[in-house]
Amino acid sequence: MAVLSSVDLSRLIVATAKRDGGAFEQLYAASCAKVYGVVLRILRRHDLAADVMEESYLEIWQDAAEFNPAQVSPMAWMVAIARRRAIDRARRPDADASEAEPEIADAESPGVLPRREMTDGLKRLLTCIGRLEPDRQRMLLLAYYGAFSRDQLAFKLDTPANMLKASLRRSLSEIEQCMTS
Amino acid sequence: MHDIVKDEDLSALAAEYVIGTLDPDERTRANVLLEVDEGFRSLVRAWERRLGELHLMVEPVEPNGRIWERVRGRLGLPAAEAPPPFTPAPPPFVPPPPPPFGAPAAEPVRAAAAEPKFEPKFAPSFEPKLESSVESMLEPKFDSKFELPRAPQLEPALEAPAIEEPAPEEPSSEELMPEEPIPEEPTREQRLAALIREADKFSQPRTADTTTTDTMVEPAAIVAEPQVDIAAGSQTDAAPISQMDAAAEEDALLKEAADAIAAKSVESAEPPETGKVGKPAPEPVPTKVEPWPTGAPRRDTMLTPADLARLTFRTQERRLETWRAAMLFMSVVALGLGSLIAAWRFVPERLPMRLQPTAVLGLPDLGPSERIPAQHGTQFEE
Repeated sequence: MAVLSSVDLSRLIVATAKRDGGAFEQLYAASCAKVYGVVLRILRRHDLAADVMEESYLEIWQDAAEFNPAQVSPMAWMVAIARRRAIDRARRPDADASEAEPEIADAESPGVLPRREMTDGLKRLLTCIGRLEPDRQRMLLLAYYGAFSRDQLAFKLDTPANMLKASLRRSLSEIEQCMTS
Repeated sequence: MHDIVKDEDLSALAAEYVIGTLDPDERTRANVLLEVDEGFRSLVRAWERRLGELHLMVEPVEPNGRIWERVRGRLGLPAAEAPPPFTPAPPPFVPPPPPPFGAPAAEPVRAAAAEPKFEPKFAPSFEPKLESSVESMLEPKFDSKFELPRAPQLEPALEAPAIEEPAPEEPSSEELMPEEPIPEEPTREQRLAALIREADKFSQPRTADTTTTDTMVEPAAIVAEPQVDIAAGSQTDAAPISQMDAAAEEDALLKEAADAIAAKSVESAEPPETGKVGKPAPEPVPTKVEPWPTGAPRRDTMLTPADLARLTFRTQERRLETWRAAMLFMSVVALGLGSLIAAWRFVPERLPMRLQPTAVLGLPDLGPSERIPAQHGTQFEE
């Protein structure tokens, strides 16, 4: 995987919007591992993750023109697309079966933060998350990284679903206030 | 803040949509909404921006090369054998001419990750297996202890996946990144890693820690106390040396962060409290992170005095609750009985039939009928 800066990635996306296949290929090469890590973490099956990757990059190709580097970092933009699709896929009824037997023992899908990736945005976000109580921090991170539904999350956290919902929403709104303040 | 309830709901819906916790039905509806409702779409985009940076903490995994072939096939792109090497503008290092998926960069990370350290994470996913939970209770502990020494292993790879700076100020942040003192970063990294791992571990059946539910449910006030305990207790537990280093490095890094984020002040003393009390912006991050790596030992709950204390606290509280309820119930009963007796004594005629002593006590009707005549009955005396 080539490592490109945000600027480079943004440029590649812009070029992709102009239907530059070469740029798109470079974009893919530079971003696929990251995106795949996110997707695989949610789906935990290579076959499903591969499908989602394919769909996601098609969408990235199609929507490249909508990318606005002033608003969002290129990786965050691509990851958001892939995540959305991965979660959609995970919520499809037939995906439930996969939960019983995740293909990935998860040796591959953890999250050590690579150095130098601590961006201001992440710092800020973590600051806000850090203001929550530890249990709610965990809930939130677990929700984000595993993309569990509320029921799954409630089960995992051994919390009544309605409590979890309230707690989750409260946390999210606190984060929103914190981020916008 | 939103004034209108509906807005708030919509924002919450968007947030949950992005974070991914909606159940399938809700998600389907949200997807529809996403297509038709411009407002909702922008809310979702805003949340994607807000939470988007979290992806940075996810480790890259090199996908199968066929995926690109499929994408390329569907787009009808030519198979570019050697695309013109791309020269990044201010690059941390020069990327090799991108062979579609050769991923030298991600390898080391994965290698490191493949160690037992991450196994407990998803292994038990939904089945509460005992063995796995035991594992999870033990392994993370060792992990967290061995983590710091292991950091150097990560470094080569860490260079690689670097990239994500917030779009607006790329050049500056790029310059910043390399400048950051090397020793500091592993710390933060470790903590964040621990934080995620913690989140994952949290997903495992926690046989020992019964407090989970309570802490989720109960208001901050109650939760606050035990947490302090834990932070304190676990700090003593977990490898003291690395902890100290971590703290020191944290301080330095915090200062940098403070500049970067334009935050207020830096005090790194009491983790949970500062986070709660509020202001210092860059700080809660590490403060929050701090308890977690140390929180790993928490998994072996039984062992930590602080945990025992916490558990006891919980248990006692629950017991208290029961007593309180019993007391309340008894008071109500006593009050009711008391008032009934008082009524019998003072206003017997106003009571409905069913509450007359005869009915309540199951006395034969004779009782009162005897008495009343008896009282009237001066005749009786006569």
